[in-house]
Amino acid sequence: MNFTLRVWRQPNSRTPGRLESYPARNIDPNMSFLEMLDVVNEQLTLENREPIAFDHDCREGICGMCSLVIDGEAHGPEERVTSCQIYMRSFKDGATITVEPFRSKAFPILKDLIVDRSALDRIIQSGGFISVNTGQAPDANALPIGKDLAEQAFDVAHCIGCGACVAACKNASAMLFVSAKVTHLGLLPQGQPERDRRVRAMVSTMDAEHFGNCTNQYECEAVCPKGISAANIARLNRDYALASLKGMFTKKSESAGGG
Amino acid sequence: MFKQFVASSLGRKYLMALTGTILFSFMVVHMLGNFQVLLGPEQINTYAHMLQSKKPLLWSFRLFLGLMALTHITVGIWLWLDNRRARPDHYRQERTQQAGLASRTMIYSGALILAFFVYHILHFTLRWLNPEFAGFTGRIPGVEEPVADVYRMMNQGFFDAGVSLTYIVAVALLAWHLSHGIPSLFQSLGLRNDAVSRFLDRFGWAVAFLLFLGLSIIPAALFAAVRGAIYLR
Amino acid sequence: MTQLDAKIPSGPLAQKWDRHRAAIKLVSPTNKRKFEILVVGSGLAGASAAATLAEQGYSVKCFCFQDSPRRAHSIAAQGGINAAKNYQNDGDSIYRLFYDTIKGGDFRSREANVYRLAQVSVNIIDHCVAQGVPFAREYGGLLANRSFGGAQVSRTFYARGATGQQLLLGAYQALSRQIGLKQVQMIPRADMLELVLVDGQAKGIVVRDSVTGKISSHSGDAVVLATGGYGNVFNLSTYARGSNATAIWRAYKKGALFANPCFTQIHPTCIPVSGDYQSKLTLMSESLRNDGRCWVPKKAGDKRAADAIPEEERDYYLERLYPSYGNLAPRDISSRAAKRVCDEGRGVGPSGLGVYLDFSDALKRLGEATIRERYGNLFDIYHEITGENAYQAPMRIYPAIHYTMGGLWVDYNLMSNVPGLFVVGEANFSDHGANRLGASALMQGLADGYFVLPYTIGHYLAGSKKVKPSVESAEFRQAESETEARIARLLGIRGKRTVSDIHKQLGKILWENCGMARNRQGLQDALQKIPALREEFWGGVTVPGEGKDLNQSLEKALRVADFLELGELLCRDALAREESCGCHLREEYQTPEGECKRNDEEYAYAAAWQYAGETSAPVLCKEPLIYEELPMATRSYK
Repeated sequence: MNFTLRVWRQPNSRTPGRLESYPARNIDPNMSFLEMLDVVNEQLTLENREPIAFDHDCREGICGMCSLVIDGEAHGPEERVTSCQIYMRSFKDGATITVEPFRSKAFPILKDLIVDRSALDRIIQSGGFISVNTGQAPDANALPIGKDLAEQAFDVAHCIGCGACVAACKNASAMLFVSAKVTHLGLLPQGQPERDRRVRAMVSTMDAEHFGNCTNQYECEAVCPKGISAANIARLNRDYALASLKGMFTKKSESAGGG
Repeated sequence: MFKQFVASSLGRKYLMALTGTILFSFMVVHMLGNFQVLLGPEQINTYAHMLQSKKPLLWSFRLFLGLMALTHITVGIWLWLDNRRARPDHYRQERTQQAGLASRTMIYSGALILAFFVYHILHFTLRWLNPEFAGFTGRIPGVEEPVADVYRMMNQGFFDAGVSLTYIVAVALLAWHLSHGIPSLFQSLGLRNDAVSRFLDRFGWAVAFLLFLGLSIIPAALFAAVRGAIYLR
Repeated sequence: MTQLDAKIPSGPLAQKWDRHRAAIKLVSPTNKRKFEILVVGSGLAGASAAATLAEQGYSVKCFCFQDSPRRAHSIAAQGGINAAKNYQNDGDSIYRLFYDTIKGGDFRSREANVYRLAQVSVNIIDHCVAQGVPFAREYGGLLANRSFGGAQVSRTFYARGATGQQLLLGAYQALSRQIGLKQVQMIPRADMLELVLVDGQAKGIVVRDSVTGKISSHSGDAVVLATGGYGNVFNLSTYARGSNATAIWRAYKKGALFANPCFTQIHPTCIPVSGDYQSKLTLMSESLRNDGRCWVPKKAGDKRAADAIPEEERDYYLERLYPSYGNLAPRDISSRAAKRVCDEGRGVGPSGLGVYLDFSDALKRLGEATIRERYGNLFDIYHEITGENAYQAPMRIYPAIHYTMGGLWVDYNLMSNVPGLFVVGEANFSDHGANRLGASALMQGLADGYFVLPYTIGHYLAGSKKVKPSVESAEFRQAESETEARIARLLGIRGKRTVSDIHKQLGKILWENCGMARNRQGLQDALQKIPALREEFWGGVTVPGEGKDLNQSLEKALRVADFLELGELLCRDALAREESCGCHLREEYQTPEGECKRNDEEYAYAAAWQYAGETSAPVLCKEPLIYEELPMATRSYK
């Protein structure tokens, strides 16, 4: 198969980028999209041109590092997969394929298709955890948790933090990401003591990191490689409102940051 | 804490949803009230007079609604600006997966509805566009002095095909706006889950459509009735 | 030759750890924050160690090459984590987990370490549950378990098929909490390129910021390496593309001993290589072999489609060779059998490196619905990757590298022979001997990070009076300039071959000569070829771009340069170990049935290699493995 790639090239975060065209020739339909990029990069290297920079690591859809917008869709044309799990047989021979980075003010472009997603880490750092030091835990079976609850918690805990939700949202909102963690820890009994301060801290960090707002269009759940439902955002809204309401009627404690 | 809530992204979603719900509820009441024009002059003029005679209540109600509309508009624009800033550089190729057109054009449908609202106030409330409406008076049982003849005003107002059409297009836009707004408010208020999400989407469309039917039936019917009467005469 | 002292505490096996903990020195709370610890790597071992040390009050700096600590490759572990909880009331105990692990490792691991691992395994589950890890549960709300290979009890805790992810996110969240509290300074997108010794003690590292290309030094009172395994030396593996050996290799070249490098585990059921372009191999759960039958055509070079080959022309080789175990033969056995039939030219698929895993009998017997219920998600993954429908045509599978038991040598305290250099998780050699059991990697990573290192490091720190050296000191300056020079040299070659091309060739040499089956001739060949390839690399590789920039080609070149040296050590170790044990099958030393033939008389030791300079061969130091508790038995699962 042969393709024409239009790839976003940008030397660094300060210099403006643009789309450049590259041919991709003799591509095996069973190549993954990233392997196709590897082939193009090998060619560029041999021509003494700079290869296309893109993030990737596990190449099996779990690490969340790969982050391409392929033909306008975060993680490409297939459902419930990451960019590394897209195979070239999904494209028509001879097609022109546009490859862009995840675009968001919160994700500055570092180079070509690589963006800085540390804003997501900072959201977790502000409250996306249960405060328990090593060695403090009671016996694991001391606290029974219903099977259904555990399964629901897993569904949201499965988030890989890739940021495709932000990339796909027309407002570059991170609410699906935040709601996944708030729901995961909020569902479990272990997460209850910090539930209110967690949601308030995480939302406040999210806002400070310049993510947009949710306008309830659910593009995020359509591209989520782990199929996390946007209904979790409703839960986030509810948790946040209740936590704020409680906050209004209780004596002020210290700030919620850092746990 | 309250200030922090209101300024937060989620707090503003709540404000949009709550003010939207109030404005929507007003539209339902407004529609039901105005249905009385279909029952004849006495009915609607009595209703109008009843409202006009309770000035303090009327004005506090208007003030409240105005505040709600203002909040809805201000916060809406605020969010819209925020959201534009969150993605300063657009995708060179963009493809939408599942967001409907209504949801992607809320700010525009909202702006047009606002423009229509201004026109509507100038038309029927302040009557600057048709100053002659102010002179329309009639009588209703139990009231000594003449009262405003809303029935005639509406008949006269919708006599013009252009005006009627403008009203119908405007309520269509409002319904369009609400087709996203209604299911959306459940999400924003945290009242949606996977079990009800499809139902809410359909419910939103259904309510929006009913509102469109209800609100457009008044100009359509009055236009048809008056024109028809002339034609028959 | 360095004399190795494993510092195993005296006393009965079951009391060693408790006694040791009671005896080792402590650092007072007020002194803890004065110590700075550098943790390199943020997988299960690194993140759990960094978080726990920070909770204890130490100042911690944590480094990872990925953009976030949450991406470390521990995340890809699927199956589960072992723990001797005996929640199933099936006779499990710490002793039994200890015994299974020693036996699984073919008696090439250290008794005391393994016993401690089994002891703390129970604490891991408690802690992870408290962190909110959503383990699978029964309807009654208690934790569920599954069975895994090499054990007769159900002791594996799991979270669907993403146990590694959930455990890593637990550790990541604990780490994030400490970052938020400013107790840990996290430095992502940083490649550790050098270890810095001051007066013979590990006191710092040199890293390259992969965004700006800036080389910088970080000094600390101790260095913890948690940088994972080195399986990517084979190029194709189930490892993440970025997984590399640079940190441990640099430590090796600074004097840390590298133990048992040839102990590399191969998983029998992976999706085979489909072409030269392939970058990554994907694991398919071993459970598929419960209902699938492995076969290849009887005739070499038979290129007919699977369904065109009649029953009598098929060779169900596992059933033929191992009638009692059949398709459920142990990992190493079935891996080697698959290799053998492919070497005979009977492999299937375009590359000829694959065997069929056929479900047609099971589909006939049980119906598609049952098969879908049991293996649906695996059939989906297979379809996603290959585009083939395994309900209609047999799957094709082939073994692949997926774990390395070898690593830097450490003593009982997880400290290498370099004072102040600690090594945890897959990066060390300690617990799995010559073969790791399923669901034990997660256990070891977290045991080291949560429950062992945080105690033992205090013993070293309490005894070290040295003040943390300045990064302006000569040792750091020199390490930086050596690193800069190495980078400049790589960028200056501008030859004709790409880094990936050479890496592929290295992988091929290793896979063919030091893969599933090894022999003297092959290893000697490899020991000729690898130095030649290394020369070709340094003479003819091309690395585009600049050093002071985000340059993925340069990152890769630095890693492959180290793999080219490590590959040689791998073969050297395999050649020196003239016996077969666990994963290490020397064709000269096998039973007639192709099983491993151990030589406990001469090889019951950990082979720890000491770097001796560019021009001399490394020196082999032996740590004898003394079995006080268990008799060394022939490993058999028959």
